[in-house]
Amino acid sequence: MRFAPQGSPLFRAVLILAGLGLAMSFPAHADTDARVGVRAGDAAEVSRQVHDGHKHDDARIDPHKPLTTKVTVGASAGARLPLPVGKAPEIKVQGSRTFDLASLFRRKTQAPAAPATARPSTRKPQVIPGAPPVVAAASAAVQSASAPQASTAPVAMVAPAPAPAPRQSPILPLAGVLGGAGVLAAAGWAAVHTGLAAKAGHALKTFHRPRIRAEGRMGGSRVEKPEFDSSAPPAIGFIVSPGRAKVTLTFDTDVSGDAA
Amino acid sequence: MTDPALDLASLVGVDSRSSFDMGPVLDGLGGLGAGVLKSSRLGDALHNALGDALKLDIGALLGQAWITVDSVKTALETTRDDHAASAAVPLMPHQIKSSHTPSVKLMVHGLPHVDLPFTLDLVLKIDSVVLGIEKGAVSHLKSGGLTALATLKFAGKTLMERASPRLELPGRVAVRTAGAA
Repeated sequence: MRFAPQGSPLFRAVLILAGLGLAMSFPAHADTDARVGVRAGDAAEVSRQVHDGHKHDDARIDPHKPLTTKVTVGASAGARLPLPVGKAPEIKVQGSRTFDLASLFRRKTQAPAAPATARPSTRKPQVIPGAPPVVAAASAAVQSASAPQASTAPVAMVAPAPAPAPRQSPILPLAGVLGGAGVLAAAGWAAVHTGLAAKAGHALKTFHRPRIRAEGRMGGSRVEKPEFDSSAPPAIGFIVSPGRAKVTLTFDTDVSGDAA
Repeated sequence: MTDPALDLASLVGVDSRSSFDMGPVLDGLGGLGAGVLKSSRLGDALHNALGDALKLDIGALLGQAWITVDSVKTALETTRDDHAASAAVPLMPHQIKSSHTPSVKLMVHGLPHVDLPFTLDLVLKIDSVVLGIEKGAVSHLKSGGLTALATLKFAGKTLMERASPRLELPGRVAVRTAGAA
């Protein structure tokens, strides 16, 4: 089923948010938390916390429980979307995909209306060093949505009277930009970090790899410290090794030939 | 074949809770940014784990050292094929030094966190002993006594240094030699 959102720009944005929120819906597992944070402007930042460092394979959606995904946009704004699985639109997220958010938030009083369906952006994305490709696409989408639209009208010989400024809510474009960036960042997180390819009601497979980083040296040996949730008591275990032994025997008095 | 058991714990009392100074170990963990691990509960658990690493069979240690003495080697060879033969080998005062390198690997959530290497130096001073040898193995001790000095170190810092009182060797010690069955 092709995803073709209809309705007002705000409704389309919410619909995409909801759909992609479902698609990247992290299994409602108590041990897993995912956060997607997007700064307004060009920079995008995706962060993820894995609390327990354990691997959960084949986590499945419980069709009887609503899934919730928290997508935080900006520093203070946020949205929590409870989505019943059975009513969600069918959306497929695979790899990196670019959505032209500008077409969703383009003013109707300007250039010809863009197709409502998602299509690849024609703008060259600004590459954010170290960011996943789709996050870079989100940044490009932000620029696209923010940039003035190119006029397709012929050049007039006489300067026309200035047209009245189009009436527009100052909140809607900003919300669209931030929301769009959040959606693409979320999609990028899902595509890059979990290799997510799922539809509503299908099994999700998540790959959680605990991150290990070196911390220093102790007793001449390299030491690595795994990350773990400091709020929970760590599960401590030990592996005891007796090690090697070197044994020598010496006589206190000189007994020639006796000692080996 | 051990009666009574002769191990390091019973010899110098390393199984008591206050026998180790775990401060340097915990300080080392704290210095690695593992403040959450630096707790008394961790210290107790680590102490117990280290106690397991220090379970040394002194009898096996004696046999490993005595087997290197030429007169003992000869007696073992002589009695190996003649089951009716026996030998008594007196050993003059001597000392046995052994160096052990036990380690405790700390796991957090099932993942290796840090490897803690320890060094245990053990000195056994044996005033005199007579070994009874039968069937190619040290079967019993006719007399003798020993004192022990144990030093446990971690990263160059001494965690424990303990000397034992003189201990009369029991009549039988589980002595594993090359000729033992």
